Amino acid sequence: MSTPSSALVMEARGLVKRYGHVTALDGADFELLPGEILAVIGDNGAGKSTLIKALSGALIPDEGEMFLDGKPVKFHTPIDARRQGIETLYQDLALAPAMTIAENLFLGREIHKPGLLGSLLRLLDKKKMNAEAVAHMKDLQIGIGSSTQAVETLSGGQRQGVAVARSAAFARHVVIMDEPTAALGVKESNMVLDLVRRVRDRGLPVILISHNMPHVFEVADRIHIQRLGQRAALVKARDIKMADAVAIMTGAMVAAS
Amino acid sequence: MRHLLERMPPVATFGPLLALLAACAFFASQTDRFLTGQNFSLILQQVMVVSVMAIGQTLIILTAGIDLSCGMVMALGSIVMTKFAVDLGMNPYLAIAGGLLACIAFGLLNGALITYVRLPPFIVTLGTLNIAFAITQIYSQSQTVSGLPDALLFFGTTFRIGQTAVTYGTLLMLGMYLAAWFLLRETSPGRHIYALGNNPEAARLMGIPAQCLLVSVYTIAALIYGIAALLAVARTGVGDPQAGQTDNLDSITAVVLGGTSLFGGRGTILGTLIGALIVGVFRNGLTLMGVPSVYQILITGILVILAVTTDQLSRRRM
Amino acid sequence: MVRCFPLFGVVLLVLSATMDLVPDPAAQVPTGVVVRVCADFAPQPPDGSRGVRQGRAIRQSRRVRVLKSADPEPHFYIGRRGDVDRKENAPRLFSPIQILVCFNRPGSTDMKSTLTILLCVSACTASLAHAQEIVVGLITKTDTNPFFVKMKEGAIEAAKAKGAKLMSAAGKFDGDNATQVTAIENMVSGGAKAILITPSDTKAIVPAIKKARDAGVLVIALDTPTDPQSATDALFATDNFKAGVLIGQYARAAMAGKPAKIVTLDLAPGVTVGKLRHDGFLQGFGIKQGDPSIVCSQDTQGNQAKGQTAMENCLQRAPDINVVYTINEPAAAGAYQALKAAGKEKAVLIVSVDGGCAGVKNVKAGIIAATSQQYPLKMASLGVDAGVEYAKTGQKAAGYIDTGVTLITDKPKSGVDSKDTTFGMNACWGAK
Repeated sequence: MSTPSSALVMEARGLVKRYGHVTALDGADFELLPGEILAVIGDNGAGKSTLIKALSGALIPDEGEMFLDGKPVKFHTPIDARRQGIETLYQDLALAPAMTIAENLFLGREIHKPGLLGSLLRLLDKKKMNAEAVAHMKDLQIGIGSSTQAVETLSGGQRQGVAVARSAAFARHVVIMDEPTAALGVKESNMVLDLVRRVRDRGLPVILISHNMPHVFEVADRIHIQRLGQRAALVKARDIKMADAVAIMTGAMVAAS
Repeated sequence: MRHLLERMPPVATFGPLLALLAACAFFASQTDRFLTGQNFSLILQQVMVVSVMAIGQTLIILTAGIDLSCGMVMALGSIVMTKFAVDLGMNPYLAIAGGLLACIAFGLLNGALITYVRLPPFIVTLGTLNIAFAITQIYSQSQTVSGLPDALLFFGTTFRIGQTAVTYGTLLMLGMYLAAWFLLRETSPGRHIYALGNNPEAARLMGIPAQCLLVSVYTIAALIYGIAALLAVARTGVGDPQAGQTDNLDSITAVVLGGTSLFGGRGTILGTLIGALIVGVFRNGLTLMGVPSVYQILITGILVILAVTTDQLSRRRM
Repeated sequence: MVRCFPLFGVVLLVLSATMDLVPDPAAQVPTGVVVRVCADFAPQPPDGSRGVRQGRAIRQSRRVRVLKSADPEPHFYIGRRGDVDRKENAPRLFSPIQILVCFNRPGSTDMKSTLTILLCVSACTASLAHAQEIVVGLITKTDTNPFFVKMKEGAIEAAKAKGAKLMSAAGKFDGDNATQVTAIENMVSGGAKAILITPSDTKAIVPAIKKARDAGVLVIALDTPTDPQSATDALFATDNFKAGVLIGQYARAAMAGKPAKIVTLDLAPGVTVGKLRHDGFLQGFGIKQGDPSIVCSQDTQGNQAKGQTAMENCLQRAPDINVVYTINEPAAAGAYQALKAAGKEKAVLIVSVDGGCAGVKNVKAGIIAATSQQYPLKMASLGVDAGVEYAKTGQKAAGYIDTGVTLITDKPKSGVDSKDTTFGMNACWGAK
């Protein structure tokens, strides 16, 4: 149809998704600039989670197109999306509690020993994984004792840190974070928001879904407001007041085009 | 200090080892016949079959599954092996392969039903337990098979270490434990097994091929039961269709006593060996002391409760 | 009008032929069942009916209800509520029982429910088909132990010879009481006049047996007495105590005065058979429980592998044993294996009970010195005979009939009667 803008890291046009009688996405658009933190906000039932699922490959939209770095893409499974460089951080973290930080970081993507030992016998290079895990955590300045600690011994914020580090380590294009501060206290939320900024500073754009307005306004560069299955507004965070954003979200106000 | 504590294996695996050593110390103090090389060789032979089965059971329990059919599949394997060799006059190595294939077929059946039809492992293996048992009885007419060729009895033959007679079967058992330990600790499929049991949703989201892995686990476990069948045949010298009827619970006992969690994702294979040895040591020690058999059952029950309680408490403190 | 699918009637006839429901041409009263299916409803509501709308089928959940008409000839209908008394429209075939199954939607044929109803009906009426023959039931502990397999064979042959029908059932394992209780109940309601049972749990089975006897069924215990023995009408069994005594006496004679170090490999706690044989052995040997010459006693559950383990451990405790009493021949085989591995098989005397063909072979091979042979076939055939007798004449069997036990050995000792292995092989049970 129309030509995609190659300046955008990720773009979606006219996404439609129906569940029987219910239309979750009704011609939703989406765009993500390089090196930004884009917050996606919207009330329940606005189609926010459906949009994110479509972008991360967890569901296939009925209609519409998606572009990654200007090239059209179609994701059939979340693994598809991951292979194209889109990492998703789920709300329940997807960490195996009994396993160590390093093991979790490389879960499903383990580093094998070189040569036949690695390819045939699938031998793990544990030293390398431990070292790299330490490096990744240091990079994001997450305070961890040692990378051989079990994840279940960590606090909520630290676990979130591990999950963020995992996404940041493997993402090539986009990191999607689903409610990263939802279960955390004040201090730990701030830690995570710092982390989000650091991920952005490494050059990875972040799509942040959140219900927490103060957090959104603290960290986002632009805000995508979803309402009734469509994008109601896409504004720079400093160009709009929090109250107005909430108003657009609930429909009390209509965004200036 | 905390650093040191973090490095040590969790209480769950340390505990069983301490229990084993304590039991050995106790029996050594009660009778001077306990602490001899010959006696230990005997204990290893006695736990051989169940402990090899427990390897397969450990793999399955680590994925948060369970296998109640292991004893019966083993019995089926031993009957197929022996009948092929004796009645059909097959080459003994082909007969052994036949027995192993029979076991693998059941492993595939279990794995497929659990993975693709999504039935609970407890129920599936309960069903295949009965199916395997029935097939064994029908094929063997409930008669033991004797007059076996030497190849089938090889693992029961002994060699000497000093004064002690050690069977080759014991060596095979220890070798299999080493292989399983290696698989679980040093390879990625082993790690994936742990992940599958610890958080199956995370494993799936991270792209681990869960279905393929689960079917493989059940199939490999069944192959292990087949090897256990060969060891059983070598030890008793016959193909016994009544063998293995309590082995499913015995293997689960060994796994639990070794500190592996029945909820999956936690445990070590060496713990299972220690668990099997604990049962064997108690049985041997109590007999040496002249204690009636029924107390062995009582003590095993108490040990299981202790093991699970210790495991739960140590985890709650985290 | 009711539109019927005779096809389903044909289907059922085919099914009933395989399920023994076919109308017996020789008998006067046909006993078949026919189900016909109608697929649309006549819209006229009979008087007093409710819920029938004119002109179109009602979308309701299917209701299946058996209505008995006032006609003296039994006609059963399963019809939709409102379809009362349609017997004048119902097909009357050669069968006294006809079932009309109707579904709500015109043209709908729900195969699955049809077959479900067919199967339920045929299962319920299956018992009608077997009218007049004498039924005897046999319930064994398990159906895998060759001992019970032989018992069942004997029962089948005896039943055939007397023209009676044998119903059989078995528990799943030694000690499975629940299955035996269910089997008794099923057999009583299935018309058995006599039940032969080898009780798995000699105490727990008693209430079920009492119920059966109260219903006029003759109950005979085989091989193992109930506790109390009078709970059954009669007991046809081996004298397990005597079996133990015989091998005890043999062992004493074979030891010829040498000091004995005895190992007993027993069954499991609380099972009467095990206790009787054990105590019999002790009496035959001339010692009491707790005698210092008994150096080791372990349970084996009658299993060969467990017997081997128990023997190994007992050998460790007392390397100089010379007599081993075993509960049965698999345990004896396991004990021999352990002794052989320790190089002691020539120095130890093994005695056992059972007399299965595999065991007698072991006696011949010198593995077992002597075994007490018992006769499950005789138990079963005597039992069936008694059952048929009761059904025909009402004469109840009573008391205890010893079906005999013989000591089998190739090395007879004076003072103890025995027979050799040739006799043993001829009389043994199991595969020869």
